[in-house]
Amino acid sequence: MPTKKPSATFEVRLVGPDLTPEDIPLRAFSDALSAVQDLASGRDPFETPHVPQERSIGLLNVRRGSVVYSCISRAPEEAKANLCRVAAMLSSACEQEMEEDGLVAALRPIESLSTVARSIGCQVEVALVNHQQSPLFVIGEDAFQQLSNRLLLRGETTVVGRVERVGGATSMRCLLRVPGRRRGLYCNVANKQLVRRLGQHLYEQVAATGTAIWIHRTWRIYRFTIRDFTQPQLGDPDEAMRELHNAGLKAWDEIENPDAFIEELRS
Amino acid sequence: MIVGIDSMILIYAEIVPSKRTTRSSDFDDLRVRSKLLLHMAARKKDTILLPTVAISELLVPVAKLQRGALIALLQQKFVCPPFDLPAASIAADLWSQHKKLPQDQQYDKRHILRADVMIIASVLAAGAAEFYSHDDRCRALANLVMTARDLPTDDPEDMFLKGAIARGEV
Repeated sequence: MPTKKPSATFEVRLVGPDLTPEDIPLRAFSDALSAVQDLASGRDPFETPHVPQERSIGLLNVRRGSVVYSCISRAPEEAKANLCRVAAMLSSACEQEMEEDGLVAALRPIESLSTVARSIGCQVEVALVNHQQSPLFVIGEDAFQQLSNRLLLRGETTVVGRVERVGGATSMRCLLRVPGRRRGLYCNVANKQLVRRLGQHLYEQVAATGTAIWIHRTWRIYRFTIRDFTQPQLGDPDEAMRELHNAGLKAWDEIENPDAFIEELRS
Repeated sequence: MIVGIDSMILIYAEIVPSKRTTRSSDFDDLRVRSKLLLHMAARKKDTILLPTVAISELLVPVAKLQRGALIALLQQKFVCPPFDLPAASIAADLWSQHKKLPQDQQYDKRHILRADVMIIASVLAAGAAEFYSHDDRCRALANLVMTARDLPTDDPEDMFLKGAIARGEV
């Protein structure tokens, strides 16, 4: 039987002029607290479907001035440590030390909080309870943009991987299992036709070309949009070499010493 | 597995010995070993990467009008990764690490080092776990960042394959 009200672990404040709890749309409230829950639990939303029960946060209280949500974590020490790491990352103090998975996991919720801040016209503050009144970190509408300018790079690339899932009701996605990468790579897919084509190659290896966003410190892919893919097959090697020979490689028959030719070519 | 190859492997594999008036004595052996590598990779269903930098070398003696068709065919047979941003970063690492190699494994010509660096970086960035080259220095360089192997001298799983390739019986 519940008795005494527990103490809050941290507070999430939405700070803006004349902002009151009743001004906040439920969707924004839910997005903001879900994103902070992800930061506190260290969950990567695209890798783990739900925050485990033992790391989840609960809402303890809502106060005015502007809007203050008092939250309680079921794993308070871990939550505090994770939130402190996010604070350090946002202040650019420890991006070198933050391990790759933690960095990737934090980026998506920070993006969500920036979106909430933009939609409501406020700042999102996260503060530990009983640690003075100053927030651990503040996320404004440009926070994700500033972070991504520091950490992310965009460019065209090729990714070789096995198609493990493809489709999606709300967005077109594809899960590629990429050799050397511990977790699967959830990719966006450029159009429906491409989704359908990828669906015909489920559990097969493909070479996907498209636009990647990398965390440039480690060159880990943060996002990848598939624009096309191929499935090269050597087939019978002798037949393949015959085809290549006839298609033009026979020009090498006229080269007396290919090794010397290539060396000269490079000089 | 994903494996990378340099341009010379395809050149060796497609050499037609009868048309060559003078050739170094080991070309026949290199042709057989290159084909052996391709046969082994095909049997294991390996994905073979032939970087675009290597393709540019393959195209040099090819007539201009044939190049497009040849590139299209190469794309059907091999994954052709470009020299992209991660490759540029890997290339910079390789370039700086080259000086750590023993003196006899270092390149004496910087332009050759640059071409090999770009090829190795392209295949590593595209996810290759192994890289095949017959060039000792190129392998030493690749070994700094991945597993580099020479052309196979035998197929451990099929002792008759090499002989069959040499006799043209495959």
